[in-house]
Amino acid sequence: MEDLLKRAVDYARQLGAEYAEARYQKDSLREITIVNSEVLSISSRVRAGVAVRVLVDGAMAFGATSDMNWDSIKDLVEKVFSEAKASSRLMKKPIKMAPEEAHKVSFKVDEKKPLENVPLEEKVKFFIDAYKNAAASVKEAKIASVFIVYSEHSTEKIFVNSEGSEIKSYVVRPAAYYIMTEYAANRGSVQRFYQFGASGGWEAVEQWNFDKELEEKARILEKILFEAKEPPTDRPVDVVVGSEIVGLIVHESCGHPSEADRILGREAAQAGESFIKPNMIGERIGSEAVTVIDDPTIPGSYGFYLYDDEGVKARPRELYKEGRINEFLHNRETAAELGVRSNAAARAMDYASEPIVRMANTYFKPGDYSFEELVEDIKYGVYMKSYMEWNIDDRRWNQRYVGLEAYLIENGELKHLVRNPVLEITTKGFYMSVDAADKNLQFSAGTCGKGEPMQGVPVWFGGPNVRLRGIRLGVAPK
Amino acid sequence: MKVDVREIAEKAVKRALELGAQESVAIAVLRKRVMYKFSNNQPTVTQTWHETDIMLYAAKEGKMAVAVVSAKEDVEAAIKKLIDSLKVLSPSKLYAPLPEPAKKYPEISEGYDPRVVEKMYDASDVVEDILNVGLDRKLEKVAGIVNFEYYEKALVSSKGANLYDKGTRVNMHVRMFADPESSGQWSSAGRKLEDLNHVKTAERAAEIALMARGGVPGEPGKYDTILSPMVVANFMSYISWQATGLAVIFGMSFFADYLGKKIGPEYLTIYDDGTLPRGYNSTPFDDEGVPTRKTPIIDGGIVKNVLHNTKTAKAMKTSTTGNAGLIEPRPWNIVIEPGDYKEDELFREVKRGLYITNVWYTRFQNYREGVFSSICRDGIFLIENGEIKKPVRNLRISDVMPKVLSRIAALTKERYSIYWWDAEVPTLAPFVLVKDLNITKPTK
Repeated sequence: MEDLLKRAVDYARQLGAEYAEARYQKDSLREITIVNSEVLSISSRVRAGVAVRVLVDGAMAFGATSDMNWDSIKDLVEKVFSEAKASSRLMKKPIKMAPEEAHKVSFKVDEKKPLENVPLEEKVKFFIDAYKNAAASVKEAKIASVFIVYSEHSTEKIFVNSEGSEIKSYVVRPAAYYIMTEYAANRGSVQRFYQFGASGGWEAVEQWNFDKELEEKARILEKILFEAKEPPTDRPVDVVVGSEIVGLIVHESCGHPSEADRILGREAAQAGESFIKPNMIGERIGSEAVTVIDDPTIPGSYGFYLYDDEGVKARPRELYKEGRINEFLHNRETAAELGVRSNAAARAMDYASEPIVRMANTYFKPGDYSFEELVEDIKYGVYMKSYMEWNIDDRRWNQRYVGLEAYLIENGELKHLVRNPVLEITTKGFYMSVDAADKNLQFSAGTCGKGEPMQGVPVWFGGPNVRLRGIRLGVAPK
Repeated sequence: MKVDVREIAEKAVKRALELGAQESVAIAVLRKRVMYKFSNNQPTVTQTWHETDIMLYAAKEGKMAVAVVSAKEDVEAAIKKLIDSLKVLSPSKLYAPLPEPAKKYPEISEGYDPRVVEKMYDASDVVEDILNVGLDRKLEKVAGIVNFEYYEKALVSSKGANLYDKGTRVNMHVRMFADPESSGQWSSAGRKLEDLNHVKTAERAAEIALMARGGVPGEPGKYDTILSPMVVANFMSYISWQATGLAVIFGMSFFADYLGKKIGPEYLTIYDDGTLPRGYNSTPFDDEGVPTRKTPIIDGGIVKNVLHNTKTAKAMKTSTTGNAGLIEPRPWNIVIEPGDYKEDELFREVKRGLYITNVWYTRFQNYREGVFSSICRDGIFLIENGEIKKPVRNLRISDVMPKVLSRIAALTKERYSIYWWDAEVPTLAPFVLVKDLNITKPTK
């Protein structure tokens, strides 16, 4: 395969490309879908093929084929070369690639308990038992359904480029998400979605405590149905935002707006742009308590990689540092345009996807408070622990999170549950209101969507619990 | 890339049966596709795909499993894994025997246009035309995509279906910026080269962008609101998924409470149509080899059907609607019946309200009850006494979907074929007037 890839790169250069790269990628995915105590389906997907990307007279073209014989690849190289050449006449600002040294390396994720060695029956039983346990734990409400999708995803890549890089990798990722629906007569229904994910083997799955999560949340949803009261919406209150929501917020309103391709307008018609402009490095966006990091190299993480899909060595990136905009996420194209080096944010979902600027594992840096210390000096407020609905505008400024498990805080103590409180706030409004963070760093897993055609890549997002002062909450409509 | 999709599908079914499956379906698809992406008034990247996708379904003793592979070399291994899965599974409640092939299948009118195939590898002039719409109007920048596709598809089943379809598809969307905060976006989709309508589509986006200049922060409240076809298509992508048997069975759909009941005004008719002439997703047969058709979801304001394959149909004691994916039912093309109003007449109906031209990021707090919000992007306009008064910004729709449907007050005659990045089900949509739509904004 490497020879075929090198041949494709050489051929593109021979035709006249100033830069060329080729990538073989094989993604093998197996999904078990369980509804309540039954397996709905088992499905598998294997996507394998070769991608080539060329830069010709300042214009970029990408191509992919699932037919991995030389004639097909040669035909594809010719097509992408001529497409880039034809586009080049319309280029006002030619595309360049930031300089990068050639790497010849390989990396692999180790599985202490290889997923393949755990029998399918055992995996099915693991999740069905978790459901049964949860169903038995509710009394007055009923679990209408628990929809669980457990997946195992391995990704094998070989990357070569015209500058001499040759990088091989193998990453395996288990993940599981669930949607639980509970209802009670005259009380309506309530739903919860959550996802776990990791890189590694079955040992990672065992650490999720999936059964405890399901049982605990089944009981909480029941309490929400019967006990949740209206949240305070008539005046500003202090709000403790839980790790689960903080993780999502930093992904949406720090990670995405720090993507240099959005900042430069490349995604303007799709996922949108950014409130951050190229000259805003160093500008204040939040309080001193705010530092947000994106780090692809965290061992065992769902967004793990050591070299990106342009062959650049990965490292942690401090996106917001002590309340200031500090660093963007770059690939080689955006780095060249802004006169810096790539920090290895180029990722491609599968062989048929172009590498674009992505997050990996984004988190709010924990502080030194305990959770109790965050809450104890709040006279009147709300603790929003989890969410269902959220969205954010395409400049990453106007965002909204609707609480699911949320409590009233009175005189430093958690009181009763409150129904669907809405945190609807600007990015600066949120980060400037943070006055403290606790020590409890927790990550959630997700699939981040971007690009066209849409590419979903695995990410972690996390943070501690953080405290906001003086927030006017809303409530979701009934 | 030359591939005999029929041969691949026939061999796969034969092999699955040899290895122990009692029933099997194989669908082999060959796809050639070129997408031109542009931003900042110039090409961003041209993307070309030459791909096969081979989908396999196998069942035994009421147990079912599915595999999809992209390379034909991986088919044998995938079938073996599929058969292994069947050994450990227990019978599925959703199992239904594969249907017999039909005697007759619909013909998709104008589903294939050889000019799309001729054009796809050399369409930089189309991109140039679109960029020029922005340049001619001195707009700040233009971004979007134009997409050309050719496909061949063969379906073979162990019940004797041996079906073939080929077609072409085109679609585009373009976003124009008059200045960094004043934008407009529009899209088009179809099967023939002229369905792109690329200059007109770009002009519509440019018109919204120019109107959006000088926007001021909007205020929350309840507004009589005109939703553009872009907004309607975004909502339909979510609504049509909730209008499937699987979503209803598993408590993920607000339609569960409305089956056979009134949900909207008597002039509201929404149907799915797999046979729509020049429909982006039109095809003669679904993934179980059942003929596609036109299925009313809401007919005269009443919820008439949800979309089924044979499996969800059996579970809900009804018949398939020809909407099979292999496990889950899926919508093909959503069509909303036109109303009586011309576009300007619709605006005249509004004393004080909003015109929302586009949304994205629609998310649900509760699918079962339809509680959702969706964030506006591109031009939003305040309407007073039937006329656009001024552009406004930074607003969000926060409401309950069945209630939104019930508050529909008027639809236009003219409809647009919309399909874009955040409206993933092709929709033929009019402008829609909704009374008292709940609008919010950030509090800090």
